[in-house]
Amino acid sequence: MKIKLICFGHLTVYHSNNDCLEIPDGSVTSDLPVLLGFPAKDVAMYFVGEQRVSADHEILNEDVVKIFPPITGG
Amino acid sequence: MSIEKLLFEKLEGHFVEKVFPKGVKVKVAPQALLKSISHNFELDLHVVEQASYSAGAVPERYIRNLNTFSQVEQAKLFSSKVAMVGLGGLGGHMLESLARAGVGHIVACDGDIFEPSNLNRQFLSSESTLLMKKSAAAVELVKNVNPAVSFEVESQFLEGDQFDKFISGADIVVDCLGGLQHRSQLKDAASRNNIPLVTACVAGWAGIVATVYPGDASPADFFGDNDGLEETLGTPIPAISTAVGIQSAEILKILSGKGAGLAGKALMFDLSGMIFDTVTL
Repeated sequence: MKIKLICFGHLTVYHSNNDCLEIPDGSVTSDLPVLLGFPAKDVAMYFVGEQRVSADHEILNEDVVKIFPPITGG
Repeated sequence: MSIEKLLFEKLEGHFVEKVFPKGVKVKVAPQALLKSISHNFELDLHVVEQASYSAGAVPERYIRNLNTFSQVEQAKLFSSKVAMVGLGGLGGHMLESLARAGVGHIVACDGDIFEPSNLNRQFLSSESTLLMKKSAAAVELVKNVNPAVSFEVESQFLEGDQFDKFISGADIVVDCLGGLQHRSQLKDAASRNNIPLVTACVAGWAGIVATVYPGDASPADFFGDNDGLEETLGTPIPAISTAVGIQSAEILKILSGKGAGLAGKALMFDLSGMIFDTVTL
């Protein structure tokens, strides 16, 4: 299935926000780091649409998924 | 004669009426008048501005805040108290923003001194403040930018229960911390004292800002024990000033009574792709 994935911060290194992403049917949010090749700890929060979801949230075709890394600078 | 009566007599008849769009008329207290009364009667400018508001006039220095804020809203800012933790990247810009806006009471704390690595972004840092306490530079800033602000600062790092005393009586707590170590302690103290918290975190081109009412989630709740990526990504100034702009807008909206835009939510941004996205936590 095809999703729109929007990465924030350094996660854009692993995926261009201009591109759609093909992922296996039945994928959950925590599969995304594995598919893109970065550690799961580099993701602090997953969102589908405007809502935060858990790491085991099942992704559906054409979902808009956003991933935000742990950043604590100030 | 009481100070209140004296001030009323000195101010009365010296206001200038300004007409805003839609025919809204506002009495303006000229800056020179307020300064001269403060000087001649050795009164704190805060007291003189307070008398101006009480007499129904907005001090001239806030005139460009109108009508983004109404006269009543501007007066609310003046009677508000903000407790901000951190006077570094976020904190320096934040202090300037709140003082210029006319927040009447600000308390701040930071035990740090300025180092060369702060110069890329921290508003209070400069060649002349290197190795100086951030708290001392903050006092100078407020004195120069808006001496009508009642400003108190503590030159120490607070933690745990110390936050409770520090934020006591504040209308809003502002998290301008760097790192993760004390963010949850500050959030817990704000929650215990039933005070909303406005928080921000940045690294590289990215940042996140949220308003956390007691019982709500904060972005830092989801950062685990990660030390954050700013050590490798750095903290250049565009993300800092963007985060502070959003954070201070949120603070001023809450204090003035317009209401929070990010309660239970967060605004995430990434300036590398110019992405701004408001999500629910």
